Amino acid sequence: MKIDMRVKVVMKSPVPTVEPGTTLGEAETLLAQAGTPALPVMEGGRLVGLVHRRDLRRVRPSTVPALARYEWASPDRLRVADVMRREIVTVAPEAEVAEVARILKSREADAVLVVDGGEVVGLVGIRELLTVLVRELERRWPPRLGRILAAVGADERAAPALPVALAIARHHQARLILLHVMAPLRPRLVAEVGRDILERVAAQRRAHARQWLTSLVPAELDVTVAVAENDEAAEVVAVASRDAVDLIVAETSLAQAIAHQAPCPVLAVPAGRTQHASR
Amino acid sequence: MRVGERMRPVAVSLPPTASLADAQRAMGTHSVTWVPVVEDGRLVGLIGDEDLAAAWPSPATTLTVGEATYQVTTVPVTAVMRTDPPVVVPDSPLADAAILLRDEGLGVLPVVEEGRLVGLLSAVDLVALLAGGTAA
Repeated sequence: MKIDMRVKVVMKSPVPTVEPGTTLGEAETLLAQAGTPALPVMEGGRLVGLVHRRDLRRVRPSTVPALARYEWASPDRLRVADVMRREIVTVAPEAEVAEVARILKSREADAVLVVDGGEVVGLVGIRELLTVLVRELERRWPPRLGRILAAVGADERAAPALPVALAIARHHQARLILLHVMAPLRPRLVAEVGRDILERVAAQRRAHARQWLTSLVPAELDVTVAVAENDEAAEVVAVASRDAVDLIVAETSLAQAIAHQAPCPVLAVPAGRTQHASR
Repeated sequence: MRVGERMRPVAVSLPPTASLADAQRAMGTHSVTWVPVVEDGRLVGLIGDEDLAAAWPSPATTLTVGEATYQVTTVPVTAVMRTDPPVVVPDSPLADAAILLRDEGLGVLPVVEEGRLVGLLSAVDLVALLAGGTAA
């Protein structure tokens, strides 16, 4: 995954500097403020060394109280000159990021100084390179939604979520689950007809709904259709949990009803906005 | 790209009863800078060479070499390890792991699966991706 990028665009700049006479306490504070693993040591405008955080920690009194009580040293007795490393790895601002990656990989140093005409202009550590890497990874493999659940109402007007869900699924090459929850039959009807007739009616309704849902779907998308009965909000949440859905798309009032129970983000689509959303 | 593609198996781990001296020996023997602390296969902490360096008696200790050596065999790693380090799973996106490594200032991220430690993902290995040479 070699990338073509110059050091000057990723380096941390400016970088605070210390002097050989700087106390270790001061150097530690500066390192913490800069958030870098090392700082350049300058003497009379000349680069003379690099002070590493890990070396400072080595000479500080122990962090374990049981061991620290045997120590007399305060960090201010020691100076940067006592712990700095004189061998310094430097690169030019025009150097390739890949070159710095190779140096840091070899663990020669925790940070590389960027020097231009004898002047320290920046520093590159693991941190800076991880930032480059994150950008590169997200460019090559953008975060994507794998499964989208669209709750589809009984007719086009009640299905404002559909065009929005189709557009998102297409963009993410996601699997789309179209879920239609049928309203329960009217109680009076239920009372008047026999059980077997009722079941036949229900099966017919399901088959119709399935057919209708399938007709809504463009052929190039990976779509599953599902039909359920009874409580729409509960069914949507149940299917989203069971199928590890990444996003639910639903009409606003339904979205509000499920927002607190949903196992994933919910996108609310206002009814009557389909034209705008599908453009 | 997923964490599972770049993680390495755990070269060495320590029990919570291990001492600072054990930790230093483990790092030296296996040439690693971070060692997970594991109990019954479960991750309980992480110790880095910088944590160890900070805990070690400084050159300014009044202890003799023998006394200092004895002391570091009595202090357990649990006294200086980082408890509850952030973890990832093999299926985590590499970008998410890289962000964690950067923002938590850790050299490695433990990779767990069903509560068990299955590998380590190191910042240096990730950065090496930018050096080219490796596929992808």
